[in-house]
Amino acid sequence: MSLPNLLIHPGHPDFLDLPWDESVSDWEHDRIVEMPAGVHRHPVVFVAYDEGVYVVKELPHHFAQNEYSVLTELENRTYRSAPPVGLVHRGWVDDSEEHSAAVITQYVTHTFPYRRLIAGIGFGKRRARLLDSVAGLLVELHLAGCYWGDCSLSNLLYRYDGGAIEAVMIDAETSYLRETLSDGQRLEDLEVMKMNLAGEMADIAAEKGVGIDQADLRLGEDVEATYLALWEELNADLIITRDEGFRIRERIARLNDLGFSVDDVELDPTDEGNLVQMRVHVGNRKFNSDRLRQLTGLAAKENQARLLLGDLSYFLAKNGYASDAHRAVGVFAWLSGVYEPIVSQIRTVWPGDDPVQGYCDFLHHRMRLATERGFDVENDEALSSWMESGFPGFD
Amino acid sequence: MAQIVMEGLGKIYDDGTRAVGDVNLEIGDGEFLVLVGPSGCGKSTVLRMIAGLEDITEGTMSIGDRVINDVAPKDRDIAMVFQNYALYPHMTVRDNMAFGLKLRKMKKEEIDRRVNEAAEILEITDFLERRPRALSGGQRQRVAMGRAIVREPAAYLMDEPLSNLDAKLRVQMRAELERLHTRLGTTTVYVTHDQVEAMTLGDRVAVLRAVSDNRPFNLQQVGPPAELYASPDNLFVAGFIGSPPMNLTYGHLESENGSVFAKLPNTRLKIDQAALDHHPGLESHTGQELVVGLRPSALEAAVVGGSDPERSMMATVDVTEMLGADTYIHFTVDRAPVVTPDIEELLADTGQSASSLGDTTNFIARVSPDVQVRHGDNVELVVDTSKLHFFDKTSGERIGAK
Repeated sequence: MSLPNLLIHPGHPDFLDLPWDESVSDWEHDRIVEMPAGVHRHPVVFVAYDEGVYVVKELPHHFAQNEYSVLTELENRTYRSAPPVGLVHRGWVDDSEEHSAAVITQYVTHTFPYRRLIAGIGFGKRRARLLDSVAGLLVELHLAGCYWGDCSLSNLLYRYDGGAIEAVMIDAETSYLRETLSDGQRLEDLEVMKMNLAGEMADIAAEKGVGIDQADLRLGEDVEATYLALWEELNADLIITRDEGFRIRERIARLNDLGFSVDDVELDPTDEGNLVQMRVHVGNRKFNSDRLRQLTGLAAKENQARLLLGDLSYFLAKNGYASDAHRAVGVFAWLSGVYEPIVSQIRTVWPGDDPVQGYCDFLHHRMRLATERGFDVENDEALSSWMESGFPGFD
Repeated sequence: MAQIVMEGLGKIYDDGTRAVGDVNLEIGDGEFLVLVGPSGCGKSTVLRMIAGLEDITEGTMSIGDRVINDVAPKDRDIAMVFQNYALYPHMTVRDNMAFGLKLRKMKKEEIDRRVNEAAEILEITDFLERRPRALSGGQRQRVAMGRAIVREPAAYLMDEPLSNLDAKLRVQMRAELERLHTRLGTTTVYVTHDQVEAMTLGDRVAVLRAVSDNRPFNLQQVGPPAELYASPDNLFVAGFIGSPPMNLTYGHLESENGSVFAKLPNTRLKIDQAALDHHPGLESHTGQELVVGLRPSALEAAVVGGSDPERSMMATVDVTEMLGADTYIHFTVDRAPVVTPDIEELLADTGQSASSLGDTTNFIARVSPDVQVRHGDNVELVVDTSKLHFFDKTSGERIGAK
């Protein structure tokens, strides 16, 4: 059996038992597993090891090399891309051939392809959440200096994140990284995205036997509008007078509310020192998930963390743990008396694969009950109601 | 009108690194211009500056009569070709080509006109109502091209579009691109590191080289392929254009009885009047050492011995390469390889020093396939002395270059 050149990150299997002398399309191996996947331009298989499930994608060597290096560097800059694990080069195959190389990535848990979100020829109620997720991801990638060059719905995977949807970049063969992107690079990336999304929406319409005129060709333009509003929010310079320091705190609070951490605040005197120009250097969009981890040790996605922190704050205030002195005790009481017992029940009965998301769905149901009744509903009652109602989510 | 004009174009990154300097280039309306050079020479950066992906930090860029330095990419009326090959499986070929225009809210009649015209040019009219899966690989690539063509942009930009194709398909696609350009007549800027591709495709070729501290400009020479081959402005272009590359060695210029001679390690060649005319002022270098260049095609094996010694040289064959239409004879001349400051810089770039190059210089002669010689044979090579090239050994510039 011919063995390719393998470059593997430490902490993962060596993948030597896979039949590398054949193209992955021809693989018949007991490590291959079926996982939810979208339409791929290149052959893709999923393989299971004790360490987890991995994705093997075959593509010409040049593209594979680029994708592997971009994903590797991107891992240091953002966490919304597929974690790279290895690069495989079949030296005996011409580098221009589709099966000359492969990129191995970690399977991103709890994800699904965009076609699972489709209702009819479009996304129905989920449309707004989908476009928020794509726009948010593009903003994060651009802040990280990544020009994608091929943003499309099928080059992303999605997962529920509280009441939102989180998008994860899984394809980087046309991407490159810079210290910062030029406006031209960002705008061109949006143009490519708009064209790709229009093509995908037109294709869905064609698949359903509907004419191109009925397709949701505006989806990409709406993603662009959301992107531009968010980019402006994150990057706009603020000019304040010397005694308006509270506006700096307001701005930071607003950015944190959007989930972005603030790395630095730059203040430059202007107008002969009468005014101050404020520029914010925005970090990753995981302000809430970092804060939740610091407070509780829990790992959650950004919007899930925002909901859990809301629940925690409510618990602390209601039970007299709001002061700094009592907060640590209150956090422990919430974890042991509320969160963990409920999540443990969720694990046994909930059909989903992400119990944190189950907890968020439960919180959403509890809020809905309280709104309908006009008063607080106890957790036990809300949990029973949620289970009896068939675990309703955010739809 | 889609003339592209660069005046004093430069790009300095935020960290102070200069990628592009002082590029002055006029690309005519409808012209196919190739930017060629080794990796890191700035060719892709220049292309991305035309596309609007890289900010212009010095000089101006115009398309038509409009300066576009600050114009967004989508408003420049240009199309990057082959950026995305995605064809949508459930849509017909027609819809695959049309949806982008639909997105731009173009009228149906105009969309139909453009799609039909593009299909005719690409010879895929018969497939317009089919799905992509019913097409061959080559036909699918034409549909992908069709998506760019229906936009009817002022210019096409292509960044190494064939680099990932296998050799056979690359040759096919090269011919296809040439044919397409002839039909469309649209201004095209094409980037490649492959000088053979550059020479076969371009109306004109611009040779670029990475900037350095003492050479803050990229553009080495621009001209039709034949001009670059016949009259390279400097040693960089001489070495880069042509395959196999030009043979270079040191030679003394000597004068005798009204004739001018080049004294080379293996021979003393009488310089033909055509070569003198090609290098105005060459005679004034008599008594000096210059760099002399001979294309492999300017050497031919003598059919019979006893050729004019002033137009021939003897060689001991190291290796022969039989390529079918030609045979390459590899031999050495007894002189250390040419090392100008330019070449020293290139050596430094690759971590080598001049002394590592040895005491002899490798030469190649491209001869008729009928010539039967083997390793160790002595062969008499006739030199076309009208095609000798002369360069200043310090500056590397062609003698008499404008």
